[in-house]
Amino acid sequence: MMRRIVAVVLLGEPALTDPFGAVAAAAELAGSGRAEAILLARPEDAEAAAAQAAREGAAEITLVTDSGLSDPPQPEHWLELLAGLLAEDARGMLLLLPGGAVGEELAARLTMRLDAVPLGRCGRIVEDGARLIAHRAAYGGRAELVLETGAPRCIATMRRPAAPPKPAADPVIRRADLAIPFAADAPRPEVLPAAADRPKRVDAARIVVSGGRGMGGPEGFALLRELADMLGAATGASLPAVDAGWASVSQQVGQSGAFVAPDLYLAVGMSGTPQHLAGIAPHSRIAAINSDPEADIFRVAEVGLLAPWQEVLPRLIATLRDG
Amino acid sequence: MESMEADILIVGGGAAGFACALEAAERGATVLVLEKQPETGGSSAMSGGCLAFAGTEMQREQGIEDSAELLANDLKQLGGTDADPALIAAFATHQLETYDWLKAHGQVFSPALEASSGQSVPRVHTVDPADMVRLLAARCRTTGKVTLLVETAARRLQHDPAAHRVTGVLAEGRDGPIDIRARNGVVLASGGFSRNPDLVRQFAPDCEHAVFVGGAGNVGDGLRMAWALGADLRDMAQIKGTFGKHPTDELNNHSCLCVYKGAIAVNQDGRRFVDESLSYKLLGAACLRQPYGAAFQILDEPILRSGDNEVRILDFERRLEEGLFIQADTLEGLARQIEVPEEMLTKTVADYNAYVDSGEDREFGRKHLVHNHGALRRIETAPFYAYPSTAAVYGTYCGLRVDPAMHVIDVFGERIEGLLAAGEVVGGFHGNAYMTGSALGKALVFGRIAARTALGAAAG
Amino acid sequence: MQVVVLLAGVVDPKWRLDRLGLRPGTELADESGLPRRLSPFDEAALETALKLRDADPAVRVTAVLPGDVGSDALLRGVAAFRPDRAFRFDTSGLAPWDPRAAVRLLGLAVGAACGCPDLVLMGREFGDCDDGVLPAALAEAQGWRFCGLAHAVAIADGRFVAHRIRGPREELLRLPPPALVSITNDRGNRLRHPLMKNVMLAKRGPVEVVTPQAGAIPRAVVARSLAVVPPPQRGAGACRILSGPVDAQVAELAAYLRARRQAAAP
Repeated sequence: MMRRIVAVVLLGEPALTDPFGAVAAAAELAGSGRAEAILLARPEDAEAAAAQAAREGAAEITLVTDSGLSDPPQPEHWLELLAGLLAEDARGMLLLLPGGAVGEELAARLTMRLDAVPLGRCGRIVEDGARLIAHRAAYGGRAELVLETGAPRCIATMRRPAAPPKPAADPVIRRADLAIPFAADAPRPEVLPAAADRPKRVDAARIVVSGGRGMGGPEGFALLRELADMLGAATGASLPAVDAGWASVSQQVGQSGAFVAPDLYLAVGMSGTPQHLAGIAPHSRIAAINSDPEADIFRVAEVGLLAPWQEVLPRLIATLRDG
Repeated sequence: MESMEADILIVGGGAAGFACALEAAERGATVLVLEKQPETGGSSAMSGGCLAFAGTEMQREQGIEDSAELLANDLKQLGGTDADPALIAAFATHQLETYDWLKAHGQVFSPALEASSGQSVPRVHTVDPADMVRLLAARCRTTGKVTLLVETAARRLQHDPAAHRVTGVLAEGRDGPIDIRARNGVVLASGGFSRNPDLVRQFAPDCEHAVFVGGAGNVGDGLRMAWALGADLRDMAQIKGTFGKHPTDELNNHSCLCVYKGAIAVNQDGRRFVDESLSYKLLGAACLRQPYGAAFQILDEPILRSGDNEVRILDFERRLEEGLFIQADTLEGLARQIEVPEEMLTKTVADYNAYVDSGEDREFGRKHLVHNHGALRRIETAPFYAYPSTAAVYGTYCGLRVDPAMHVIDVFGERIEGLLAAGEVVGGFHGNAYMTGSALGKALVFGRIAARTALGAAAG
Repeated sequence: MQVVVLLAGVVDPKWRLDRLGLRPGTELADESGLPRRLSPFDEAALETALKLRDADPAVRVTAVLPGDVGSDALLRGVAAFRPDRAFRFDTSGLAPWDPRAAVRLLGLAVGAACGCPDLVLMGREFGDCDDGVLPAALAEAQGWRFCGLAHAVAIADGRFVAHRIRGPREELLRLPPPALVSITNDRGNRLRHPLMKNVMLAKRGPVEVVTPQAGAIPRAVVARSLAVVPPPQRGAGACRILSGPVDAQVAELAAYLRARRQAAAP
C-alpha cells in the first residue's frame, strides 16, 4: 500500500519566502491526484490559501484553523498543532515541510513527537514500493547522499521543483477548527526594533549583489552596498565573508545560510564553491566579476567580467549613476 | 604498471615548476608536471608575493635607478662567503627578462614598489602569488604541451648508474604507480622541507618549536631523492626563524613587530629575555629558547596606535581587528588572559618603565626601539595588549647544490646528468641572509634556466 | 552552571572529495586520507561556550567530540582551549546519517558529560552528514528548550538569552534551563586562538575516551550511496566572458544590469 504524501503550509510565517513550495514538490513526487496538503492558518487567511494549494497541485486539502494562533505564530504552537493533528494517524506517510529555517526546525522536532524518521533537506525523493529513496546534500553540498528507508512515517523538507505545478482540478477540501492549548510557559521571542542600517532582506530580493572572500575586507562591501542600492538589490555574502565580519549573518547565502531565488545574482570576488551555489535557486541567472579565469563561478555564470573588483566596481557605479 | 613519457618531467606544481614548464613548452617540448597535493601552488601561493627585480620599466617610471650589477652586489653583501657568486650572477643576468616575460604573459603588479631589507633601492615588485601561479598554469594549458597530474607524488628517481644519468621518475598516482621516462631530464621543483619534522630536527634543531610557513607537501621529496643519488647540499646551517609570528593563527603568515615601536617581549613566566631592538632573526632565536618556544609582545594603547598600516610587520590595527591581540584594561587582567603570573608581569613592566626613565636597561641593555633608531617609551596607558609571538621559518632556503645552469652537482663535484633543480629545493644562493623577493624570484628565474638547460638551448 | 558543547568535526573543506564514497560492503563513509577539522559552526559553538565562562567563572564547560580514534588529534586541538573537561565519545562504526540513531548517541554523550546540563551548544549543522536536523531533534528527544541558529548567547537571571535573526526579524529568546541552542557563524563568535603553552600541553596530555554503554541502536535509514556530484548545470551552460578594454567591459556589464533591473522591477 502506498503511503500518503502530505505537504504542510504554514501561513503567516514571515520568515518563509515560498510557503507553498512543499506543496508543489509533493504534487510532483506523488503524481496526479495524490498529493495532500495541510494548511495551518488563522481563520481569516484560510479560503484564499486553499485555492492556492489547489493551484499548486494538492488534490486533498485539510484546512486547519486555530483562532489562537498569534501574529506571527509561534513555532511551538505549530509544533503542537501538527503533533495533535497527526499523532493518532497510523497510516504510512511522507510529510513535507517547506525549506528554510522554520520548516527545517519544525520537521526535525516533529519527527521526535511522531516517532518518525527525519530525512532532512531533500533535493529529490522517489517511492520504491513502500520504501523511500531520498537524495540529499552532504559534506557542505559537495557530495550527494542517497538514503533508503522503509519507515512508515518520514518527514523531510523540500523546495519548489523547477517544473511548474499542475493544478488539481477538483480538490477535496476538509476543514478542522482546532483550539490546541499553547503552553503558556513556552518562551516567546522578543522582537528587536529594526536597526536603521539593517541590510535589505536577501532571501526575498529580485536582484542580489553578493561578495566573497576575494573582497578582502569591509571596504569592498561598502561598494557592493552602493551598487546594490542603485539596482534595488539586496547585498549577500559567502560564509567566509560573514566569518570575517564584512557582512551580517543574515546576509549569508549558501548551503548553510539563506536560500535565495532572485532573477539575477551578481557574484563579486567569489570562487563559486558548491557550498555557496547550493543557496542559489537553479533558475537564477548568475553574473560574475572575478580576476581568476579558473574560478568555478564562471562555469555557472551567464556573463563574466574577468578583472579585479577594485578596477570594476567604482567604474560600474559611476556608469550606472550616469545613466 | 602504467608508463608515461615526456621531454621534460617536473616534480612540483609551484612557481618554479610552472615557470619551467611554460618556458619548455614555449620551446616546443612536451612536459609532465607532477603535483602531490590536490591543488597546485605550493608554498609559492602562500608567500608574500614579493619579487626582487632590478632595472624594470616600473622602476624607471618611478625614477628608481637600479641595475643587475647593483642587485648582484646587494645579494653578495647579504649572502657573505656562503652565497655562490655564480648563482647570484645567473640570477642577476636573467631576472629582468623574466620580469618582461611575466608581464608579457599578463601578470599584473601592484603599483607600489617597496624597499625591503638588504635592498639599496626599492625593488620589491608585488603580485598576488596564488594568482601568479594560476596564471602560469593557465598559460601552460593553452600551449597544449603540458600535462598536469595532481595527487601524483614522485617516489624515486630512475637512474642509470653507468652513465650517472637520471632517466625518469617512479611516481605514485591516484590509481597506483606510474613509470615515467623523461627524454631531456627531470627538474626537481618540489620546494623545501619545512613540513618534515625529521629533517627540520636534523638540520635546524634550534627551530623545532618554530612555526614553519610553507605548503603542506613540503617534506623534502626532491631533496631526498637527489640526496639518494649523491647530490651535494648547501646552506643547510642557514635555517633561521623570524620573530613576531602569531603561533596559532594560520590565516596571517606575516610577522608583527610591536617591539620595534616600543613593546617589550616577555616569556610565559612573565620575564623579558632579550634586547628587543635587535634584528628579528636574533629575536627569533632568543624566543625559541624560551619555555614553549613562545613569547608575548606587551604594549599599551599609544604604542598600538603608533603602528603603520602600510608596512606589513607594523600594521597593528588590522591585526587588532582580526582579533589577534589580547586586550585588557589592566596589566593584571592581561596577565590572567595569557596565563602569565600577574605579579611577575606587573613587576617586569614596572622595572622596564624605570629603565626607560633612568636611560639604562640594566638587564638587557636596550637603548632604542629598533637598531639605532627611536627613543624608548613607557608602557603605561590602558588598555594593554599582548601579541602572542613565536619565530617563523618562511622557507628552508637551503638544499641541493646546483651549477648556474641548474644541473644538480654531487658530493664529488660532478654533474648528475639529466637532473636539474629550481626554486626552494636549491641551496647556495642566499647564503647568510635573505633579501626580500629573492625566493619567489629565484623560483621563476631558475625554473626558466632549468628548462633551457634541459632542452640544450643556450642559457643566454 | 553546566555547559556542554557538542563538536562534530568535518572533512577539511579545502580538500577535494573526488574519492569519497561508502566503504565497500559497509555503510560507512571512506574518508581515509582526508584531514578533519572543526567546522565554522563547531568553532562558533565552542567560542560561545568559552565566552559564557569568561563572563561567569561559575560556568563549567565540557567539550564532547563524538568520533573514532581518527578524531583524537582534533580533540587535542579542542583541549588547547582549556574547557574544564574534553573527551571523545567513541562512536566507532556509527553511520551518521541515521538521525534517530545519532540522536540516541548524542543524548548518551551529553549524559556522559554531566547528569543534568543547563545548556547544550551545537553548531547549526552537526558534521558533514547533518543539515540541521540533529540539534532540533536532540532537544525535542530530551525535552529541552530549543533555539536554532543563534549567533550569540548570554546568561541573565538564570536564563539563556539567545540572539538570532530569523527572516525579517531580529529576536531574543529567553530560555530557562535545560536548553539546547544551535549556533551559526558570525563575526562575534569567531573562535579565539589558543595559547601556545596550552597547545603544547594538550599535545602531550592524555586523551579521555568515553565508550557508550548502549545496546544495539535500532536503525531506520540505510545509505545506498555517497558520491561527489557535479554542480547542476545552469542557464545556457556557457559563460559569455566580456572582452575589450576594461571600460568597454564595464559599460557592457552596466547595460546588462540595467536590463535585469528593468525586468525585475515589480
